[in-house]
Amino acid sequence: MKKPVWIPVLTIALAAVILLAAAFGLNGIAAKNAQAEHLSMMQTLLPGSESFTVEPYSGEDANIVSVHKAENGFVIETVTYGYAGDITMLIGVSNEGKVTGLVVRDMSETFGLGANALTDHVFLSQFLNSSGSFAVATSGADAFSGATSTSDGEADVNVDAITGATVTSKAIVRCVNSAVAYVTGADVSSGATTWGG
Amino acid sequence: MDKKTYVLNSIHAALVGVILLVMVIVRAFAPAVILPDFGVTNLVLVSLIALVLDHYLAPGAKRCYICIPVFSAIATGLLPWCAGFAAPVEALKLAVLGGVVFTATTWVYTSMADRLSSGPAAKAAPVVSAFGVYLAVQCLMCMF
Repeated sequence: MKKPVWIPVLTIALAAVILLAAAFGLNGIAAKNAQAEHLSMMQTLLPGSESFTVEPYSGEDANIVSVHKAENGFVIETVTYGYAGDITMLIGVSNEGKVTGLVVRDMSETFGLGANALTDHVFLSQFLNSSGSFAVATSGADAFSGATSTSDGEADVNVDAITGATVTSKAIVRCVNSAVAYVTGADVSSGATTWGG
Repeated sequence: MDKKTYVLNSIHAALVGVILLVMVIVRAFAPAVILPDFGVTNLVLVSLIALVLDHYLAPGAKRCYICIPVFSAIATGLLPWCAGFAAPVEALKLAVLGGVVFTATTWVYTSMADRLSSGPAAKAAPVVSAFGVYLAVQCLMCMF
């Protein structure tokens, strides 16, 4: 009996044609919806803002991807490495240097641990209406050193990490520090990001 | 029995196609949703779903270990490119990764499921084997 090799070939070809048609057909809608959602998100992160202009960024901070300027502040897109991959964030910072909002836009952190950064309001709200440099404060006894509490002494604000996701928490703090430093003009190479992740 | 040799690859390609179609629709109408990445863990999950479906739809089918890497590499490389989720170079890398992952998963899963497919628990063997392999892969990936 002749082997039906053409069946998987046909399946792949059919799937490819359907996906090409769907991707091309929905391309315009996808771009329009993505743009509208992006604007809506930025307006939420920076209350009182209406329109944004993209400000070219040529600084040395590798975490900053793009800067969107409004009348009353900035929304800064950052990307930094977390535990399992890149974490993309949008961070709203007022002209006074205060964090007005932040959201994780993309990540591939561990489900149930680092991925909680998407929805952990207690963790995320620690940044709101604060300015300066942030650092992760570790509470309780350290499993290795036995220390009861450690944090960056130079930081203006210590935030509690997400339970079981210290690396992810530090990555998010790093992003927020970069965004705030961009607006306030702080030296990220010596102050905001030296504590590392 | 020979006819069933390529059922697994057909199921795998169809499954990858359906998942990508859903992702294209979600990307268009719900841009805020974070879509799953094309990492090893997710590729293994898709492979295991295809293997379980194959086990129930074509029980006892012989595997063709030459066709399995070839067709799975084409499916996991070509289809994400068609859906706009991977650039040509990324698609090529994804094809290699997908081919290796699917072949390795098929070999491990088949070894387990074939040995469990006897006695009163035979009907649950595919699902149990897949679950075991998936847990093992998750543990393994946490080490890197």
